[in-house]
Amino acid sequence: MIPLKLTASCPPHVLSGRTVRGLMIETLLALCPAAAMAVWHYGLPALRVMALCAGAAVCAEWAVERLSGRPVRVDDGSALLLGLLTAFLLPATAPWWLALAAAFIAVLLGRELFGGLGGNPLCPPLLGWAICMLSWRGLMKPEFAVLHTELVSPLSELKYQGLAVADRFPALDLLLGQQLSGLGAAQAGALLLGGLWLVLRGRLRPHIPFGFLAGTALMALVLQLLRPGVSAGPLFHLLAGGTVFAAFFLATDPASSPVTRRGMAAYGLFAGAMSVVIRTFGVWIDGAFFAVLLAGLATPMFDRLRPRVFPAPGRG
Amino acid sequence: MRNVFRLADRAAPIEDVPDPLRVRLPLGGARLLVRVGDAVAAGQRVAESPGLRGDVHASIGGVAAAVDGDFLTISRDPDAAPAPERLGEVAGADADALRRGLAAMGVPCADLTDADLLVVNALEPEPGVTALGALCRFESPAMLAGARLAQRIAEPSRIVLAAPRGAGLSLGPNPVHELEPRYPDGLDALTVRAVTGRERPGNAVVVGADRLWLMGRAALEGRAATRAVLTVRGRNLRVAVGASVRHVLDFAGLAAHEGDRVLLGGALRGEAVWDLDAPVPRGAYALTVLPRAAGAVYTDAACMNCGECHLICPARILVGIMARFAEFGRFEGAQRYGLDSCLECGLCAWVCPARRPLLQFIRLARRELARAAEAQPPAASMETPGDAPVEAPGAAPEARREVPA
Repeated sequence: MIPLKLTASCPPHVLSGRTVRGLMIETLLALCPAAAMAVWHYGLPALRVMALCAGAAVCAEWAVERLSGRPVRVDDGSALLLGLLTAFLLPATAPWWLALAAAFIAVLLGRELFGGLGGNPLCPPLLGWAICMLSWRGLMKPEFAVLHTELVSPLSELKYQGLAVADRFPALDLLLGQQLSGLGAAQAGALLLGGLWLVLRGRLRPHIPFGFLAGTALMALVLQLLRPGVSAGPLFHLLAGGTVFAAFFLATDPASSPVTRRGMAAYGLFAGAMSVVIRTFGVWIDGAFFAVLLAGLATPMFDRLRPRVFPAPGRG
Repeated sequence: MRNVFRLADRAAPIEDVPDPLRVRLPLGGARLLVRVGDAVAAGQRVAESPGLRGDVHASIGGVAAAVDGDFLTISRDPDAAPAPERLGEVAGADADALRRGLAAMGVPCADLTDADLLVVNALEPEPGVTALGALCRFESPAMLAGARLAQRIAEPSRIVLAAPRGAGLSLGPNPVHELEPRYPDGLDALTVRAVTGRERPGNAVVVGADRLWLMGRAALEGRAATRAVLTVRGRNLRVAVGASVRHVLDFAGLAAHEGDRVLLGGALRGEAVWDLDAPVPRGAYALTVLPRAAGAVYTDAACMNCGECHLICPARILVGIMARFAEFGRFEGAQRYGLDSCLECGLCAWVCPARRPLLQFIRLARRELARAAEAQPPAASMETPGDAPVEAPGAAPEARREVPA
C-alpha cells in the first residue's frame, strides 16, 4: 500500500486570502475614477502618458527581475501601479521620453536598486518625479502647459498672484479637477472617492491618509491665523494640488511608511504639515510631494514610536 | 469579515470513542517503568517524567509491545492484562505533595504555583473547537473536583471562570468572567489579561478547562490522564491517549486524501501530522482535516513592509522586522524585537499578503536559541550584548524552503 501523502507545514494552515496582487489590483481600481477624470479633462494626451509610464514600469521591472535572476513576480501588479502613480504626477503634455524617464527612474532607482517591492526607502513614483523635476523643470511643471488648456494651477496662483486670486477657486471645481497639477494628482474628488473606498475596504489603514489631511488642515489653519490675508485656508490646501493624492496614494506606500499605529499617525501629520510649510515658504509650487519624500526619510524614526511588546513569560 | 475568528459558545455532548487495539504513547523524555513484554493494566503508570511534567500511563490494558524512539506501544490483550488500575486519591499534606501526586497521575502542574488568583480558561483555544465548553457543560462534577484540588494546590484567594459571553457556563460558586469569544483572546495569557486587566501579572495562574478536567478526574475517580476530549468536525470525542489519528478519523467518518492536512488542533494553531498512525497526545483538543485546496500555500517572497502583521499581533510585536532577523539567522536580533513575547497565535502569517511563513521563522529562531542555550553553560548563555549574530549555517535555507501545496 502506498502511504497517504499528507501536507505538513507550520501553522497557521489557513490564510486570510489577502495577496500582494489583490492589494495592487484594488489600489489600481481605486485609481480608475481619477484616471477617467484625467482623460476627461486632458483627453488622449493623458491616456498617452499613463500608458507610457505603466508600460515602461512593467517592462523595467520584468527586465530587472530577469537579469538579476530573482523570481519574476511582475504579474503581481505592483509595477503597473507604480507606473500609473508616476504618470499621475506628470503633466499631460509631458513628451514621450520624459514619461519613460520618470517611469524608469521610479522603478530602477526608486525600487529595484533597493531590492524590489518592499525594499525602497522612499516612495518610488515621487523619486522619479523629483529627479525629473530637477532635471527638466520646464517640461515637468504643469504651469508651463497652460498654452494647451485653460486650466490654471491654484497653487501657483497663490504663490505668484496672492490670496485674492487663489480664493476665487470654488471648492467644487477643485474637487472636480478643474485645476492644473499632475494629470491624475489634480483629480482631488475622484482620488478622495477611491481613497475612501480603500479605507472602507480595510485595504488602507486610515492613520496615514487622515493624519496627512489633518496635518495639512491644522498647519494651514495655524498659518492663516498667523498671517491673515496672506495664507490660504485649510480647505484650499486640502483640495488644491496633490494633497489628496499624496495623502491616500503616495504617503501610504507600504515600504517607505511606518507600520506602527502611532508612527503612521505621526508620519501623516508631519507630512501633511510639511506640505503646507513647503508650499508657503519654499520655492516649489506643490509641497505635498516633497513633504512625502521628507517624511519618508524620517520613517525609521517614526517607527520607533512603537508600543511595548507583551511581557514575555516568566519576567513579570 | 472577521467572523472567522469567532470562538464557539455552544458545544456538542461528549461521545466515547471505543478503545483501539493498540496505543502508542508519547513519552516526552519520560523514563520507562515497564519492559517490552510486560503485562500492563489500563491506567498503570508506565513512565516517569522528570520535574512536574506529568507521568505517562497506559490508556488501555494489554502488553507492552514495543518501544520506538520516544514512544511506547501497548497492544490490547484481554488475557494478559491485569484488572484496570485506579491510583486512588490525590492526597498530600501540603501543596508540594499534592503537586507531586498530581504529576504522578499524569497532569502537568509545574506552573501551578502559589497565586492570588486562579483563572480557569474555558474559552476555546481556536475557532471551530468546542471541547472546552463541552467539558464545562457536561463534566461539571469533575470540573468542580478539579477546582477544589487547584484551590488546595495554588491556594488562591479566588478562582474565576473565564467563559464565552452568553454561554451560560459556571463553575460552582466561583465568579464567572464573561468574554467576547474571539480568537486569539482565548489564549491563556490574553484571557488572564482580560480578567485581571494586567499583562502577565505575577500573582495569577491559569489552568485550561481541559487540564482542570484531568485534575478533577484524578481527584474524583483516581484516574490518570489517559483520555483527551477532541473536537472533530463539531463532535466532541473522548479518546484514549495514544490512539492513532486514523482510529479517531474512522470513528468520526472522516477521510483524509492525498495532500490534505491532518491537524492535531485547529486550522490556526494545529500541528500537522504526516502520518495517520501518529498518536493523539495528552492535551490535544481537536482533530481537523483540512482539504488540500483550503490549505495555506506559503511563498518565499520578500516582506513588502505593509505592517499588517504588527497591526494584528496581540503581543504588539513588529513581526515583519523580527521575522526577517530570524530568516537571516540573526536570532538574537529577533529576540530584541520581542521573540520571547510571541504567543504563536499565527495571525501574522494569516494576514501576510506576501504569504510569508512568519510563524515558521519565529519557531526557527526559538528552536535555534534553545539549542544554543543548551549547548552553552547556563550562566554564559543568555544576554549576549548587541545582536551578535548566532550563525547557524543552513538555518536560513531551511526556513526559506517552500511549503509544498
